Amino acid sequence: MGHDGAPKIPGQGPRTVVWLGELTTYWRLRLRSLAMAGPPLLWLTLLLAVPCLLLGCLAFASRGQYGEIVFQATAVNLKRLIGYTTFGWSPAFLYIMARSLWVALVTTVLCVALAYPLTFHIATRPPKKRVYWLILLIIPFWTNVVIRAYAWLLILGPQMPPAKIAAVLGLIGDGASLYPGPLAVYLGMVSTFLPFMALPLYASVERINWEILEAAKDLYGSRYMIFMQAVLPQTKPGLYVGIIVTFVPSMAMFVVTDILGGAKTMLIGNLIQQQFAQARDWPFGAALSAALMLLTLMSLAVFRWRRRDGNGGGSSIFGGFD
Amino acid sequence: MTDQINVALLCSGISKTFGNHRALIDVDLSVRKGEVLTILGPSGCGKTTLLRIIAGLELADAGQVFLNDEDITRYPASRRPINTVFQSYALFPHLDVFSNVAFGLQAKKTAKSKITQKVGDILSLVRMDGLEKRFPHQLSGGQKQRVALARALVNEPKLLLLDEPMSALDAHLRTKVQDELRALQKELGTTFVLVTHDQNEAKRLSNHLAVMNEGQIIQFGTTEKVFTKPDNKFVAEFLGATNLFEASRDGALYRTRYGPMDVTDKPVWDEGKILIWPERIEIHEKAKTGEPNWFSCYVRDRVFNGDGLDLLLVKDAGNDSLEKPILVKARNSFDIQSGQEVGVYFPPDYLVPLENRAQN
Repeated sequence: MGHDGAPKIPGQGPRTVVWLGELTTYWRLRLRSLAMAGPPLLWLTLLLAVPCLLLGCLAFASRGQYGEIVFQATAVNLKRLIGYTTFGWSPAFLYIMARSLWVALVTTVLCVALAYPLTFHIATRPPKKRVYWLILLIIPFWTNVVIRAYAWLLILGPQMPPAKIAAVLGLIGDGASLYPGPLAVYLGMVSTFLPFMALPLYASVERINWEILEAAKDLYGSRYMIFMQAVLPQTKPGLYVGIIVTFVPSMAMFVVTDILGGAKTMLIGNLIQQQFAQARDWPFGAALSAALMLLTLMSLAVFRWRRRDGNGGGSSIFGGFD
Repeated sequence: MTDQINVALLCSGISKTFGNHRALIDVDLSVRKGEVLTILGPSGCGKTTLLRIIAGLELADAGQVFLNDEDITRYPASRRPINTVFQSYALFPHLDVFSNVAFGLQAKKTAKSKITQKVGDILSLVRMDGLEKRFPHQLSGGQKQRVALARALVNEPKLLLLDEPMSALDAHLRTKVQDELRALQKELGTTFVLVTHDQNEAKRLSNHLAVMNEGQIIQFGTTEKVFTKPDNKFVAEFLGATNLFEASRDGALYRTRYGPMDVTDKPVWDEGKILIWPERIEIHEKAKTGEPNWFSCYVRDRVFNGDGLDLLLVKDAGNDSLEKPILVKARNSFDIQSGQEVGVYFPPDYLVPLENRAQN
């Protein structure tokens, strides 16, 4: 039935094709894919690409006396970014950017270190119990970040056991709390981003070929070798996704660091928020945002480049770990 | 007990339970040095669990495992001089052939020059030299299997375990690979323990055979012995026997549905089952009347099988009869047609009485 009519000569009339068992033409397929991809493309263009471009333009404007935007191309914001102010050079902003990078990096590493044992634990449970563990992991998603950050304040407060124990050990003064400070920031960050790391990683760990792990054990592999040669290669896809979805938002995080970090641990996210809100200096905020985007993209590029590099090295046992 | 020195592997009283499923029940097994033992059984019979316990990938609930008289029951896999060829081969997908094979030596901190030499030697032994830089996804099934074999053998294990080594191969490759494996085993003299559900593989490869069912070894012996004289109905049918029939003693002869039979190998029972292999049945034009072991049958069907005929014989000529036919592999009687009457002779020497103890 589908064979009726002579085969069409290319270039003469619509070319018929069979696509997923359906007889159609290239033209119709094009139209259909446009109809399907069009709306999200439009959405992304209007609400992501255009604002980003505007932000980039805004970075070259400047702040007027009363907080209004003066549209006149100037590099003053870029100069401020790298430290040149009217009062001379200060590395404060660069330092904040470096610290943001560092906090995001440490958060990501801590999440990886926690997510591996966690996902292996879940993946080795009987299938029915895995669901409960996954629900436990997802529950924090249902709670607002702000609420969770304040919950940490409560836990780390001077009346609570953690602070009391720390005081007894002489780590903090009597009656002091465990916030603000790096400990509180990392606790908040890791608890916020652990599900982002663990869920994609779990997707990979669940599909692991355990026979390869057993083969590594059977061939006298040390724990390190088993991880590097049997676990890591098999879980890389999930790990990479986890790293990206943890690292990128933690670069820009300001709620957690604002509540738990105090002024000493100001990050670029806080700074941007300050510029747009309190300081009413939108152009400088835009410059900072652009810098954050650039920094994030650069980090991802380094990560991608390292990844390719790592693959090349991993192909040989001698190159892999010596 | 005289050849205790020659025993490479000894398992005694191995039991293992998963939840409420008894995977292994008090299993004893011994393998002599330089031999190939096949553990044969249907899926779920516990054979892979037994192999994993020997490898150290699973811990037995009870029983002991000895390797060359050393109790290795509680050793982890990494402390046992035993290596495994896994069913899926389990090659490291991101490592090339050389690195896959070098893995064990690298783990044991062997000197680089020695690794290069040993890996080169074993790869040429399995005819994979020149393919060192290939990755597993660039190899054929047969090549992957040879890499898996080389990766295990390069460590010079005291015992090599093979878990269904042919199951991932195409049927036409199996015979060839089996012959290669056999030659390799002879050359190296390594003791092999092989697990399979394929009786042809067991037949071609092993010196000794342990047939398992439901967590127990139900027959153990040399491959020839088990194949020619299965102990019971399960073993007989698992090895592909179809011609099984009831018999009861009647003086010096045995009464069967095919008439009186003389049996050379006298059964221990008065009533039981007798087996005859399809290759052993003789087909003649006419049955000798009044003589034991002779009777006449009708050909229900004939199937050309490549080098002879498979004949299905029944006593009752009716096509719709429920009678279970006798299978005969006839070598040179191509003129036999369906529906024809033939004379059948069961040679007394080839009538195998089943011991009929555990399962009938």
